[in-house]
Amino acid sequence: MSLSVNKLAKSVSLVLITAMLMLVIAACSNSNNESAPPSTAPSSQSSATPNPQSSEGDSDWKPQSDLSKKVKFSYASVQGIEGFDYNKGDALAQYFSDKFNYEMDVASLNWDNWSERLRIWINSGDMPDVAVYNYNHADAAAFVDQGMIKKFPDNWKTRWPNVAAVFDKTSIGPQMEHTFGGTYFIPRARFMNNLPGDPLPNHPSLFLRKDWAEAVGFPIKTTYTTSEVMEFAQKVKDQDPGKAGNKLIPIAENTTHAVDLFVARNSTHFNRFYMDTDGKYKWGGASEDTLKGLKLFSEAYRSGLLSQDFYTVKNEEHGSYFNVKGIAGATFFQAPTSALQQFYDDFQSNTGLDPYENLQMATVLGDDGNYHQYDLINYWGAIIFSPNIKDDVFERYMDILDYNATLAGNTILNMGIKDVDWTYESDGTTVKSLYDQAKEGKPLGGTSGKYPSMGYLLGSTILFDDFAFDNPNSDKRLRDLSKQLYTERTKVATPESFAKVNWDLFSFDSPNFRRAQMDYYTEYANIVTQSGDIETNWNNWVNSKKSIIQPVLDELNSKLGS
Amino acid sequence: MAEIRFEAQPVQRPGKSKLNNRIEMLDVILVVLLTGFAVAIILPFLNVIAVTFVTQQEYMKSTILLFPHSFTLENYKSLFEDGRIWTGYRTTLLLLVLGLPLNMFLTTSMAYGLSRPNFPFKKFFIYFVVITMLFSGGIIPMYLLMKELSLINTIWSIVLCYGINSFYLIIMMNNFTTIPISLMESAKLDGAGEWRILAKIILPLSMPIIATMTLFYAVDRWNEWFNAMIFIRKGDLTVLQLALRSIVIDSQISQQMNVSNVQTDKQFSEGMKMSAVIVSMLPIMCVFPLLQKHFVKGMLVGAIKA
Amino acid sequence: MENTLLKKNNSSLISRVLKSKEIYFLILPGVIWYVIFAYVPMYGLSLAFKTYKANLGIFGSPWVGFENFTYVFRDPAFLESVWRTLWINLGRILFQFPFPILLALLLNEIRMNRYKKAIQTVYTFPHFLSWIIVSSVLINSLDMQGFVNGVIQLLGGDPVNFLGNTQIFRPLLYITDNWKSAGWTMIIYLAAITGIDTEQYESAQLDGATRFQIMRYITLPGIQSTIVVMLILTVGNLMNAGFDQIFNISNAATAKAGEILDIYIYRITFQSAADFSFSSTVSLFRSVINFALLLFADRVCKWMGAEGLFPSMKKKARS
Repeated sequence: MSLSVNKLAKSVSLVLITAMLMLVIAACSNSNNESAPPSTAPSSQSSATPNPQSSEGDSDWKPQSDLSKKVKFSYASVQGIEGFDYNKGDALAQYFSDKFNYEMDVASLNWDNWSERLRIWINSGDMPDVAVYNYNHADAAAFVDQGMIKKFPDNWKTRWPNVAAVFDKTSIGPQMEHTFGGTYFIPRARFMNNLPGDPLPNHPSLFLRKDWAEAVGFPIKTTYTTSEVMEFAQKVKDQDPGKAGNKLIPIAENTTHAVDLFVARNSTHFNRFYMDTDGKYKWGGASEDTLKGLKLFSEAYRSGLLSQDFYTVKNEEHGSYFNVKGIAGATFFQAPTSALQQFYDDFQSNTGLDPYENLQMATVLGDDGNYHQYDLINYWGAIIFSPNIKDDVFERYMDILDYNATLAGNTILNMGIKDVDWTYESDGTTVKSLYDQAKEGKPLGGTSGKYPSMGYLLGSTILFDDFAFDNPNSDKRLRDLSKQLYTERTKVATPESFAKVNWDLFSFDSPNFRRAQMDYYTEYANIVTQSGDIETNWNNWVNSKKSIIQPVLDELNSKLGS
Repeated sequence: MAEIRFEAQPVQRPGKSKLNNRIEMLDVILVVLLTGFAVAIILPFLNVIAVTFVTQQEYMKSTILLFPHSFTLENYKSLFEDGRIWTGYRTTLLLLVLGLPLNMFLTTSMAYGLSRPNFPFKKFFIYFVVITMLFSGGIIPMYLLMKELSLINTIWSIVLCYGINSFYLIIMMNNFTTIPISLMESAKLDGAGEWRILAKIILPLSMPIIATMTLFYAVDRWNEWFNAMIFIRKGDLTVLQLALRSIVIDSQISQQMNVSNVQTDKQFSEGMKMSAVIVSMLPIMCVFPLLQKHFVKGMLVGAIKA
Repeated sequence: MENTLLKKNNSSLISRVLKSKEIYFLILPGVIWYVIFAYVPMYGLSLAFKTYKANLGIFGSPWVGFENFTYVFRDPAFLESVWRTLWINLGRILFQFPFPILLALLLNEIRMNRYKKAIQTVYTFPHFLSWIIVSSVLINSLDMQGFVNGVIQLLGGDPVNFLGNTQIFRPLLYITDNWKSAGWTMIIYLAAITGIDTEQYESAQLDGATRFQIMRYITLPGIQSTIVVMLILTVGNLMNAGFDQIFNISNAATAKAGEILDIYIYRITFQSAADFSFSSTVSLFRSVINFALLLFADRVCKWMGAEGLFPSMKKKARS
């Protein structure tokens, strides 16, 4: 008995030694062949041509931890499927857990309790080993100050160069590294090689029924002002080109998107403090632009252009009025490139109309003709580690992140398993899809897809937005359209209307400042749904907030003001 | 106070042999009114049940949906395939099996103890209970406590953190005080200890209130979600109500406008959400009529007897 | 029995404690539970006077005196939410409270036993469902495309915006709460009615009293004490009632109209400021109000000649 155990141990160690030897050889050959560090320069190539400097195969990527040793860790993230086995649940999950020899215990957080739960855990000194954190500077500063999250070792950028390259792209990463005097967060970059604009615009776009617009004689464009959207809605309401009868919803929104469409599109700083052109700090809630947006919002709501109970719409169901039920003239909706194919497909299968002919996507501008937004910093969600995490676990997870930030890793995350779901074209660099959704009868990812695990839970620092421009699994027309919309937004804006982030303000923190945070979407929707004159309601609201806003303004102007 | 009123008393007044047994106009009005309210309660449920059996398309087309025209089980099928509801069921059943006996043991023994007359510090202990009804430390200290006890991420955290409901304790205590003291005194003379008295005399006499409290606790356990949300991270220990929440009202992606979407964010159809609602209330629907008779008695004997 | 009592009172405290040791054993498990899971965490209330530093723990966090209270009172939303809670719940007493009594009185007049049982079952059922279920069911029926508006439109009316109208919001709260729980409360009153001496009814019938008169002059006074106790319980619970309901039913349009104190606490704890000290402060404040209300209710109760909220708290001299 003991003999056989010994034998087993021996053979295992033999395998290990061989594996390590091979690793060393691989590492050497890597340093010989390729001395250039992974590039951070944006690639000019379009379509799926990989960045030539990035490593493309496993051979020239080397881990910093001993992959032969199995590690276990706990992990908390939103966007997961509760109860799904992220170690062995599907072939893709299996692939990663085998490759990196880990077993992770996933806490899949929900959208509506994500921040709460994580905050309680961190504040109790009991956070999971790894977590995806919805970055909020006030909280983050407190966590760093109190040692509640792990500080990275000083040499991490040289050990995990691919993660470091992504880190530098996010702009918030280096900024916060400077502020905190060390790295605590790895923000996940939306765009790595394909940054569509600087400042970076957000993805929500107007989806409009092209066939209806043609029927009521409304011009087809790729940009509309808020008032033009309302004009379209009015025409649709009057003429009902789709014969939707009393079910017709000219503009279908939920609370967040309604505020986004009317208020945020007219008021750059609708939900924050900002530095005005006179160098003084002001509060966006009290700005004239916000009032302008609220007036339009109120008009749309009262004249029945906007769904009358937009505030009862849960989740993102307003989109389905448009692409499932086909009773909405327009909707301002999430439009990340990776989700467009699904949206178009749903439109086609439910309304029976060709989406490329009957659906128009457009950018919404303020009534001044400018695109209004505050720089959407190139990140969403940051990866944090527990201060109690074991070094080998930390190193392993960084290895995962590092590998997934290489082109090879990133392609697997986005496309599935190599040679099963995708392969390289004969040129050896361009990615070709082998996955046929129609034949398989299910999508590649998603709860009911081939790989339910596909997504950020497998460990990524580059979000899907980047690869989506190149992803051959979605129609090229959509990818081009999406890119065009992004790019256009940066162009139809002034530096004031599309403001770059003010890092002084971003990293400002005080007790008063924390207590002046509020849910602007609910507040604005509430003002608009009240009866009475909108301007009076807004004035009353501004006055009621004065006692918590004024102290912040005083602080900002005395500490940061010029 | 000394009279015994533990016999099962039907809710309707016994011997209501009215002289006039004819149906009056008043009866008709009463039946119409009372049935009206019952209908107002049933109809929304019927509507919801109907929604679970139709496709999204039919749901959209019909305004008043009480009977599905095109019957489909698709919603239930996809709900069960989703699997969350099963996890929820399993965890919540486990919670019931472990938690309910604990609740009943702690509450019954303490309620009986406190109902005994004139023992020293009795008043102190009652205030001891009442204070907890008013003051609580909040979620962070509770979490830290669970962490100290190494209960985080185990079913025991939610089993233990809801041990006694002070309101129920007081109701039960009041109920026990209505039991004539002479019964206990005589048992004592026979040499029976307090535990024995509780088991042999009090409990048999108090079945209605026991049944009522069991139902109360069971329902509370069934509806538990907040503590579970904070104390438990494991996906395979999700309680039913949280599973339900995540199907019915969750994924408010739009609250975070700048979210980078992935395909995993699934939209549930209205039918599927409502089938989750139906499935999670089914056990209460089944068990409820069986227990109803008991808790009516339970309320009758004890709770509010001034 | 008188004798033993007397003896007990005369003997020394220690011997009395020893004599009651079995009782202490009975309450011990419960007391242990209370100490661990209710009293130990109560030290967290000290956060109201501290500023929470996670690394230092609750004990180690620095004291700040009444600073948190200054902040709380500077936020007008706080005091508004206190008043709103009181108003909403006073409204509950006026408009919602009498309904179960009425139901009990009406159902009591029904002589068909089967019908009565069926009705009771239907009425009490929703009480046992969580608000998340009830709100899903109700919102599904009441929204603009819902079933109720479907009926209204069928009858030729215009759809009513039940869920987003601040004028309708409070009545909606009272109605939906009654929809869920009136049946349950009704059972309590029905139980009290059965406790009324049947002789009274018989003699009244012999005197030729009408059913209405019997209801008015016998049944109603017969359950008066129950009504009083229920009322006091409601008053004592004035600051607590309704979080689950409002949390699940309100939306952006009714957010202001529904911001009761508990919702305010939830909002500041979880949604806007990440500040546990601040929320502890508000919770402590709420507890103090509750305490005052409960004392007040108990006083009123005694003043009205009833037993007080906790009858067994008093020496059981009567038994």
